[in-house]
Amino acid sequence: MSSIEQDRARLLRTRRDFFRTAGCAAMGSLAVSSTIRDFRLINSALAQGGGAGSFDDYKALVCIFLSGGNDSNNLVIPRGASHANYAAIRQNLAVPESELLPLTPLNNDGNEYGFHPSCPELAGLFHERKLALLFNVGPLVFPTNRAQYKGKLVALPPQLFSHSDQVTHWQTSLPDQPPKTGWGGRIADLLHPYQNELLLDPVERARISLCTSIAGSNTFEVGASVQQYHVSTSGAVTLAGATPGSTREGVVRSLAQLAQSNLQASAYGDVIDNAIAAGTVLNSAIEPTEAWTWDVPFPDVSLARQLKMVARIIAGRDALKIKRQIFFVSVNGYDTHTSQVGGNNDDPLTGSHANLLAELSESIAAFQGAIEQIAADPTYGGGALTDSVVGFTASDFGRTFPTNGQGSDHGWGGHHLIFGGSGDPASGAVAGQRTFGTFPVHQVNGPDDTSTGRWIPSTSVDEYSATLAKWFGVDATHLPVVFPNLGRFATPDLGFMRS
Amino acid sequence: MKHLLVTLLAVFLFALLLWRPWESETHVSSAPTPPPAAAPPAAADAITAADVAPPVPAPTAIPTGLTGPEIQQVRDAIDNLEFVFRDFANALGGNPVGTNAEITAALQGDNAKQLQLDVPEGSTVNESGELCDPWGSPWFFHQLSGTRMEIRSAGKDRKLYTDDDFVR
Repeated sequence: MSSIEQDRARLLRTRRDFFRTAGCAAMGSLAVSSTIRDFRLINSALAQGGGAGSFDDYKALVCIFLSGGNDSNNLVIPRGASHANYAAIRQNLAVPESELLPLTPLNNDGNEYGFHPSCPELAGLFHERKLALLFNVGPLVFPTNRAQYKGKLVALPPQLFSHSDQVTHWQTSLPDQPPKTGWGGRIADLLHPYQNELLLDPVERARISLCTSIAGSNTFEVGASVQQYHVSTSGAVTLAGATPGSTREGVVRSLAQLAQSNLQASAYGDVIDNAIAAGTVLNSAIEPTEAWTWDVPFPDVSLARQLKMVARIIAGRDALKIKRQIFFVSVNGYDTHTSQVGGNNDDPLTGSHANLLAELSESIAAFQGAIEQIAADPTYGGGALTDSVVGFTASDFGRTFPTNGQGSDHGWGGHHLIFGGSGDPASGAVAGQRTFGTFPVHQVNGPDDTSTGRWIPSTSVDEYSATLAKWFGVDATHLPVVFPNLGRFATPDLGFMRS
Repeated sequence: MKHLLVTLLAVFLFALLLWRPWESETHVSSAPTPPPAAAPPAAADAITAADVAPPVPAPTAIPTGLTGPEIQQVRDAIDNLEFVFRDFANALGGNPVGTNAEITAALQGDNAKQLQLDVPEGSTVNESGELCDPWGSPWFFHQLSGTRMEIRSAGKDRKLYTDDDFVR
């Protein structure tokens, strides 16, 4: 080998070494920074713990995830002069103006709106000031406009328009980082110690995790330290064939509690024992409401069954010794590429989307009714309970505005619902009967469109989530810890919640 | 060795700066920290993770409206398309995203590395810059995740979601 070739080989090796070393260093830095963030969350909670009674009120946040990507273009529909344009572009998907359920918001953004005719209950809640609308929300890395999108001038959430990535972005609110924790889980990391580890009296500690899912595993409730507690629509699942307090249960728990020399075996035993104990406590807490007759009956659909369980757990909150709860429920079927409308693909009043919206509307109304019923009950209620429970919707993405002939395809920004509270104009938890955010200009290749009627979000998931988190109890100091990207966006509090 | 020590010191200081443990005013160390309650096994009627996962493409359906040779033709075209997507994903860390036209543009060089891939055999590009199936209709790319994509041909009748659609 000549000296030149030897030099070249040495340089190549050096360059290769450099890249390898730099790569390792970069990966190491990422891991260090995210771990430090987790430490800071836990540290913050520890720092603020005031011993017993850190919370003197109860609050619950309920996430309804519309899985598949809701076509919110047909949930909130323009009326008046704008309807003709809507109908011309949506064609077979367009709901006739005469069928819309008119909305009369207390604020005026210059547009007229109506709900899909499948949503009379939602319209009712809106006018009772128990429901607010937030327009055109979606995952963003930075504020983004059309020129920036087209010119590739700003970082975008990776793998835009793909289901699983957008679900992850919505639930982590960190689209520019590898998914590790969800924003609900990060809130729980911060607040759970207040009602558990920091309480000096063990009797007063929370019996279950702050995060409860009725819809199985989800990213939203993944915390660095808090685990999500999974409950079925009929309650916690405990040992099969063993009633609480039975000999069989006692034997299994004794086995689980045996001292183990192997750490993994010991941890496994703890998990089994905790699961049985927590399951028994939860089932006991929800047992009194099993035979309740609900003032607003829950329809026999998936979402309503899940929300009914949420309501029953909330009714049992005192027995669970819990002051803050985050719930996750989910409903499938929103990926309406086909059969979005009924008939011969020409009836927007029927079809899969109309059915889904009806399920959503009836289920939310039943849940709201259940919370009000529990609040009014002398045993399980409490004066402020109605204003302590708030729900919100989330979804993979909105959908394309123009029809594909049989439905709509993957979009980006979408409209969402925030509901709950007493409806009191001064003190209701939700600033209801109002619209928030900016309604997109319904124009293909218009100012809000990427190219095919996919709205570029004007409000980020960070802003949406942070507004809810602030109401839930995350103070302004810690909002950037829970939502590291929040500082990039203009409005950390969108105003739809009354703290 | 000296450089290594300096680097380690720098990383430690950086970490300390981010963590800022001195911001903690009160530490309650006496309280034990039991782990949160563990999740019990899913109930029979509980919604499982599979229920909330993104939709999984159905196994390749044999379209009733296509002949054997036509099915083979579209299969070959999708095979070639998948090779192109594989090469793109290997180079750029994931599938191209967006509409058909945006995906086609990405495959043809409008990407972070300006990687240009040939139009796969069996497909064509129409005037709108869309990759088309053997019958000239744009492929429908259903993006499930960054690495998984359902590819649909409208088939011989050139209408999506009919009996002669071919999906993989």
